[in-house]
Amino acid sequence: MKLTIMSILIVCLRVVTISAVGVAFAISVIGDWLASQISFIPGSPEYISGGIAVLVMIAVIGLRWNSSPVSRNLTLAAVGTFFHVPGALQGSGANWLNVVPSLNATSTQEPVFVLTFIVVIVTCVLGLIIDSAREEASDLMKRGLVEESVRAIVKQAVLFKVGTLLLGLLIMFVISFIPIGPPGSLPPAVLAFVGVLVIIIPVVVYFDTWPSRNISEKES
Amino acid sequence: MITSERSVADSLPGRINQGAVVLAASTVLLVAAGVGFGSFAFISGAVILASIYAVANLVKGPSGISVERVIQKNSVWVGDEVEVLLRLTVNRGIGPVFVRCPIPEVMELVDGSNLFGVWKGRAPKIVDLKFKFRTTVRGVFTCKPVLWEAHHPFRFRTPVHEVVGTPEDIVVRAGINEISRVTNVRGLAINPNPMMDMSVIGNQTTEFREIRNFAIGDSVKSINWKATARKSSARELTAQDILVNDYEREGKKAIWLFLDTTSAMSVGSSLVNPLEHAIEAAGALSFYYLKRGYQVGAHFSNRNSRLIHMDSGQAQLRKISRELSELSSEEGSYDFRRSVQMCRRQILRYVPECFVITRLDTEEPLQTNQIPPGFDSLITGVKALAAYGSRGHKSVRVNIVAISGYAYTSQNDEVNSVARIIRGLETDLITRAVRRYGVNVISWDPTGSRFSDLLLAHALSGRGKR
Repeated sequence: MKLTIMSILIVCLRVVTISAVGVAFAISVIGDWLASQISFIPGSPEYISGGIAVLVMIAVIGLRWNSSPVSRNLTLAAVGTFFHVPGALQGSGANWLNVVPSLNATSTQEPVFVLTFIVVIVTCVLGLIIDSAREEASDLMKRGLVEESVRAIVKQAVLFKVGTLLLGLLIMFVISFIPIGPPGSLPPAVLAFVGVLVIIIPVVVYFDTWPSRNISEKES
Repeated sequence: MITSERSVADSLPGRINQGAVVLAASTVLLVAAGVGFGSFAFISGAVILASIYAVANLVKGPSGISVERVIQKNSVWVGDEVEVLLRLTVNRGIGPVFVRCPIPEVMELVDGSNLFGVWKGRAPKIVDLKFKFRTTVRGVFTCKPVLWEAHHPFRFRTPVHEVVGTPEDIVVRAGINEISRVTNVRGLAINPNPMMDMSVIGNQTTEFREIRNFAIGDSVKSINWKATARKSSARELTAQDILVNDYEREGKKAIWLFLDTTSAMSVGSSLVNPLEHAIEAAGALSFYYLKRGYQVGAHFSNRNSRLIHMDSGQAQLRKISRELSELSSEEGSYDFRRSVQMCRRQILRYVPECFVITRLDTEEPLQTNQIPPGFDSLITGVKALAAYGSRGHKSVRVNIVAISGYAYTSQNDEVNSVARIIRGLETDLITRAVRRYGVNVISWDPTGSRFSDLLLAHALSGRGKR
């Protein structure tokens, strides 16, 4: 019963992810341009470009069906991000489409891309949490842990991870509302924040994996 | 434990793993893309991932872990249940902690599990965990130390694991089936088993046995004058009329056990095999005779140079039980002749009733009434025992408890059933041939009857045959 609900939830998340990616690509200028190049398919360009994105996403899901949770959801997020690049190119901070004025015929509101991208990120992270929980539960059951303990542990872990995701969303909303900077540009506070992250995260990752890398080198 | 065996590089505990690196890399890439494209969409995605990464790094996995193990009993009988208590203490961190208390493979879990998983929240946690296992076979077993493994709540770090405590031994003694008394009728030297035998030598005790006719050598003090007067009333007293009180004598018969522990006794599973049943039989015999004051000694074939010398009482029972617990099978065939040679002095001194627990179905009969060459050593040993006994006024009685090795094959298989019947008939031929040497053979199918029941049946059927 539990597994069925989880499976349905996963399917729903996948549908939402695919829809968001399809919408983002369909309303982008490059998506529109690509659809106009395909003359042999009748129909509105938005549906054609959106359909292409949906088909690619379904193919990715199919190809990654039996992979581990991390790589399965990561691939989905990566491909979803790729389909958001056209929207990012016509973003407000630095309009790269000015380099190619012919593609700059329409301008779509950036909040739509922000929303679809957040949907992709959130659904992929949720998918990762659910997939990991299912895999962990199955692993613990196989190893002979009592079902009650498995349920309690997995439930607590899922709640903890979902709580963290909500916290991330909250932080994102708080930062997005900081009214600093000229209109149509990225807020300096956001840029400062991400600048710090860009410096700190690689440093943390490097030093955290240092001992294990040293051991690996000695072993080899 | 919860995770499979890891390589040296992977096993470094508490380090970030692939998931964390992927998350960090994704964040950095999104930040770079957001800044590069000037897109708030990518930046917002990066902020979400960065927040998750920050929380995952700030939250520490469980630490300050200790586990205490208490095994309620470390000396038990086969079939007993042993309760194990574990007290898990986790002082710091958040995440799941797994505890595994290894038990010997042959033990059977009967209540609970020896693998536990506990979620540690913000507050320090102390949990009492317990489980029970049943001992299935005798022996000395070692419970390995307890293992615990602490996982990061996001599994972004490799699990931290540790082994705590020291190995603990559990001594499982062979089970003893108590043999009940058959009858109160007493007699002289009833065989095959001396359960009701009276000692005919030794000093008199104060325990009254009976009134009997006077015999040369009887003390005058033992004459029962009242009974004599009643018997000879109204006539002249003669020597035949004199009655004396008879009392129990000190001293009981001695029993000697020979146990075959060769590989032929190891057929079947590790839990159910002839050796385990042989040990059960030896335990039952020791218990029964020692309880009644008999002297019991033994020799096990896997310890050629070691004898359990004749003795009586509870201490001897404990000694035999301990030796039986530590028995294991050995390669090679049973050299009964050598065993008898080893025990020669004890047999000459005590002239005991001997029980040889072995198998007689390991060889095929060549001809009717002919002993297969594989049993030459057995027959030579039996002859030697008879020779030792004939030196005194008593005789050494030899009983062979022949355990049916083919009884351990599948009971439901028709082919096995036929093979078992044929083998049984062949073994009967060997048994008959062995009986010609004055040996009492007790054929035992352990899957069909308990040894104590079989022994009593033989005692009853043997009464009055001599």
